[in-house]
Amino acid sequence: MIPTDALDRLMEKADVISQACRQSDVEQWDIVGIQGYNEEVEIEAGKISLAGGGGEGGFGIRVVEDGRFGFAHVVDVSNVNAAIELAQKIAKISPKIDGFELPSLEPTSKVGGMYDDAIVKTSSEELLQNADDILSHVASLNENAVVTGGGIEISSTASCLISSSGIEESGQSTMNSIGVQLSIDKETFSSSYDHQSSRKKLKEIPECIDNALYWAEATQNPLKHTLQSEDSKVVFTPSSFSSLFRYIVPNSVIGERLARNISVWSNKVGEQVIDPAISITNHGRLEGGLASSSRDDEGVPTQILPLIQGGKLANSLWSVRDAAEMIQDGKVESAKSTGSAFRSSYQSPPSTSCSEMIFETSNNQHSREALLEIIDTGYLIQSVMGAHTANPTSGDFSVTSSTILRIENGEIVGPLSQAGISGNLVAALQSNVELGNETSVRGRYHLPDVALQSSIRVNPA
Amino acid sequence: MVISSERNSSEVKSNRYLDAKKIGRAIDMAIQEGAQYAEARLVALTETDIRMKDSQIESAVPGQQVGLTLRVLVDGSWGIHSTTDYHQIHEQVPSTVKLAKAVANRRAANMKPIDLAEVPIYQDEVHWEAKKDVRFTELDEKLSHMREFTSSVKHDSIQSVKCGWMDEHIHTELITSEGMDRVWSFQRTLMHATLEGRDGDNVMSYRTRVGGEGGVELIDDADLDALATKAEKATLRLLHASSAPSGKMPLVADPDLTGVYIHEALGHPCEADLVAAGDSCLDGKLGQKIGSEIVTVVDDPTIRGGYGAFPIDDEGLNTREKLLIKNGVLTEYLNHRETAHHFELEPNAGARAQDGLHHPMVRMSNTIIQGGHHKDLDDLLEDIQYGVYACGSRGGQVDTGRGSFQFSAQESWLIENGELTTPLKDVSVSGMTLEILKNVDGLTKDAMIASPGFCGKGQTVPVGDGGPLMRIREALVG
Repeated sequence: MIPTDALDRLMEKADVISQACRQSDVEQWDIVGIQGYNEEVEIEAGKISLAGGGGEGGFGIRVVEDGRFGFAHVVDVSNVNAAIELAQKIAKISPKIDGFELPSLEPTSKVGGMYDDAIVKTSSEELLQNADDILSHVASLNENAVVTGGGIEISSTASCLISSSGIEESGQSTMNSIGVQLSIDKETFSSSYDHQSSRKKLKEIPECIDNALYWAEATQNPLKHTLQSEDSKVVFTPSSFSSLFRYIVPNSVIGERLARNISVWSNKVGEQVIDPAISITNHGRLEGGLASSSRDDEGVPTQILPLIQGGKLANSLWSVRDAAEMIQDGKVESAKSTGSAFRSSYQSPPSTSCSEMIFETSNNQHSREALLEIIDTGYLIQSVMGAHTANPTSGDFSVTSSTILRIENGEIVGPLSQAGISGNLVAALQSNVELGNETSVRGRYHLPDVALQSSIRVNPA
Repeated sequence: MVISSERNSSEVKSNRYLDAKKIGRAIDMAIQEGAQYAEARLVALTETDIRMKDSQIESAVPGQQVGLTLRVLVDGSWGIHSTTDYHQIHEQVPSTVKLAKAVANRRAANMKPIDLAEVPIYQDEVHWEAKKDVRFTELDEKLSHMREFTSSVKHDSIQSVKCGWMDEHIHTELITSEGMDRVWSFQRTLMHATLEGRDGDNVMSYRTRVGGEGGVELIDDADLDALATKAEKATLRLLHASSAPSGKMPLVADPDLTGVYIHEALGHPCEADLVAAGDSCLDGKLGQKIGSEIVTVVDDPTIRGGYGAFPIDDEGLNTREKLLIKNGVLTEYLNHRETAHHFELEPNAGARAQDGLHHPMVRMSNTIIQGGHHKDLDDLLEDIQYGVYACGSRGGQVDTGRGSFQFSAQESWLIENGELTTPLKDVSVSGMTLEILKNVDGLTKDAMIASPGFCGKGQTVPVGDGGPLMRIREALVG
């Protein structure tokens, strides 16, 4: 069972560290503390292969002196003085950034939906039963389908942020993730993976299970006839689109990258950069969002920020240090934090990143069937391999899919065994982008089906 | 049986984190509670992570993390507990055994219980010492290497040079219910950089890495100026490169890309845990010819300097070379003790965990295609009328069950009438493992470990891949 007093224990240790910081001669400091607990059940070869759990935690200490910052992390609070000294030593050799100071306390309100008691109260037996239910469910729908991998995880994380400027924030969040890799070895071999994560307890059989099974079934018996490599219209499902989107779009709206001329959208603030119907919003306060919070990881209140409005680049993402640095370097006249500082763990200082990203259209939204009718001839793509090889600077990508269906006359005619898909996502988003009417949450990205009608080439094997 | 190791490469004895007696009592408790096997594995990582942007420090984070994983096998099922609070691990023994029992109780009658292959038991310490220990090298010296690289990049079209440094001293202690009591350590050092160039609206990035198993000497010995110049030239070329052709055509890959190809296309399907799960296209193919006669592939963690090198695997076995393919015939899966028992194979020390907070899985180390008979690049290009020469890796991915894979090059050239002509960008190659291994029809003589890399399979571990220059008769280029 995940302990219910995790936050109290964390705050006790954080108090020790903050006392040490106050007693030191450090100008400005902040402390982030994280203590996470998890329980998991892994599935392999159609059975539960192991059950486990554990806890991990520690503290990151950032010091800022005369515009220079240093950082160190500790697990054992008895080492805190050594960590503070180390952070100070690093600060001394770090570059000075005029105007860089830790943020002062600004009011904000809590974001709801981050914690679900039902997750914390889930017993190990219930998790095991949930895994068995998933295995039984798949077997009941298709006797040839096997869950070859995946599992269920629940976790609870207590976290806090305390700073010399009076910020003192703490809270507890929960998460439940379920994922399955399914295969069918009947007339041909096919497989599919899908997963879901939520701050709230998921249904015992979430939609991702049936979706994985659908795609494993749909990609049995690939088409035999040869299709030509050609520029094609495609419909990406939220799963495949999020794979490409996450490596390209968030990078392109980081303020510092725009200012340094290394974003594909540099020098285009206020200009049309994608289809005029499309808007992208960075929602730092979305209830229950996996990347939501009341304050970012340096204490600045989060906000709802339109990044692309009607296809025009409206705003960009900033953290406190990035903003000060770009002003000092003369790259921008003004900039201030948008509450977009994130740390990947207590072991990392903050860097700029997106929160929940919402991808929407002002045009009519369509069912998947209607989107297939719109493209008429092309492909429906559920997953891609190699999205991490996309070029985040240019938007170019070249990936492979084995869960891809051929569309002719607006209808599915059958699966391909494999196809290469290449193009430039930024160029493909510039016109004729049509969206589906069901939004799916893929990590921190909220995306529907996306029909793209140019700048994509499909190369069937 | 206890075998005293003769492999100690050092007389140095480490300071131990674990109180062997206390851990011994915890393990005894697990056995008394019903476990057939129990182990405690602690990993202490002493590391430095530095980020620099255009010669200015972004962050420098020296630190240490210590994690311990308790693993118990009860009635043929695993229970696991991982924690940073390793002093209190004995408190977790009853609940972890209970968890494993609960898994065992749910096992269907037709499911085989897990058991472990027998292995020699060692009580010893093995330390691979670095020539220049990462722990005792001043931060300034590491920063100076990063600045040296950055200052070698001078062209106005290069908008940004991001340089990173990661080093770690890995100290592991393993105590098991079978009497294994081993301590081992080694180091890894990596310097990496990403160059971002712009010409008008055209923006491109190029990344480069240097390092491996060992200490700061790996970077001392590298020609950073040459590395930076090569990266700069590549970035500038990419700014004006053409889009790749698509279709099936001959492909020649450099050692970097050859390594990624063999890692994705063959290495992953060779992992015995995926084979046992029914998620590998190589299931049932041991002893069968799956590649061309000239293809011989090894996975070898004992190649010192390779980023995937380590002296002892995370189940306490001495590492050794694994011959995966010999002259096109699949000869060996990568395995750990569980899968070795499952397939009735000899354990070959393929167990790796990301750190002390993760359990061991079957993983690759340094995976290499051995050299062939072609003399050089020109020799490979000679017969090609129209194809692609692809260099450097942006990474790859595999669907082991379907046997389909994808990998991407950093930069490429068109081959026309046996000559390299137009520079290309964003070339990716995809294919089916069981088809493309048969299409390898040319390898140059000298195989080498290429750039350091990382492999993700739920857990991330450093790997070294490589080979010679390789020609594939027909590959799907996108």
